[in-house]
Amino acid sequence: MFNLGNLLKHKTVILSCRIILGSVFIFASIDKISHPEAFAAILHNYKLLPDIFIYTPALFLPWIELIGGSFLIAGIFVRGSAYILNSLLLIFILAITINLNRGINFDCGCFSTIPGENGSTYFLLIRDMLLLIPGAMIYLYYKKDRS
Amino acid sequence: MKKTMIEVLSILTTAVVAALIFNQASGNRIHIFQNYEKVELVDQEYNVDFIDIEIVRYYLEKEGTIVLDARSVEEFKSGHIPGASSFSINEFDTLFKERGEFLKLGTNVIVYCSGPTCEDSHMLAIKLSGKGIKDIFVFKGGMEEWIGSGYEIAGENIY
Repeated sequence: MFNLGNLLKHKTVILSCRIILGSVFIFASIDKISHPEAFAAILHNYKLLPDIFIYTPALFLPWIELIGGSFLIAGIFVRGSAYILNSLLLIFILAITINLNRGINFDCGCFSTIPGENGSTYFLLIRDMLLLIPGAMIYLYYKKDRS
Repeated sequence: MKKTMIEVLSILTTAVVAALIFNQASGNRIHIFQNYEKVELVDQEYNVDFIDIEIVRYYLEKEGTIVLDARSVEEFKSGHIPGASSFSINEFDTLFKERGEFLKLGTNVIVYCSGPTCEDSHMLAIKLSGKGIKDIFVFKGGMEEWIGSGYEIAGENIY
């Protein structure tokens, strides 16, 4: 008999989730690592951090995305990677929501540091929320011997 | 949970070390403990120039000048440069679909936002340039300088 719970826990499904989420974060990190100054400008435009705390996340955040995404696909520290990437998604969702409520115009810098290449803000919000689904599935259902 | 936290710490440590090594070796090195300094995103590559308030006033008198306010609609409604249209950067795709052809007819396109420190006008200028709009000018002083100079301010009309 068909059982949704078993399907969600299936190793192929979890492996697919790892590849999808990991690839998204690796892809998102590349341009930001190459252009830290431009990413700092985008973080500044979020208007959530004081000037002294702009460069630190601009430098480290893309590397956390890259290492987290790579480890997730490679099967190293999978639950830890999922925990970090889910936390990042929640932070992004919070930041976008705050700025939407404040009516502040900003470019998210999610995949590219070139302004205007990241799509509409509501789309970004929905996309980040959808990415939480594979993230949560990996965190909850990943078992080392099954994937 | 303890095992997950150890994994999290290991990943964060790896990322921090990799970032520091890369930053040290990179030509685009940034200084993490410095105050943020604004990057000038607008340059000749994007066919965009900066202009000051008197040039804005000069262009406003000329036929074919289009002035765009990159702030939110609410900010625009609370006061804007006379003759300006609201072109909130947040709604860029929708607005460009509606008015892109009209913007291409303009001889000069001036963009501004709330003041010298805001970046929405820079970003709007780059987006417009990327869509093929020519002769774009960023009024860096924005509304802050306009109001400070005591020039007339217009109210509600979005277009």
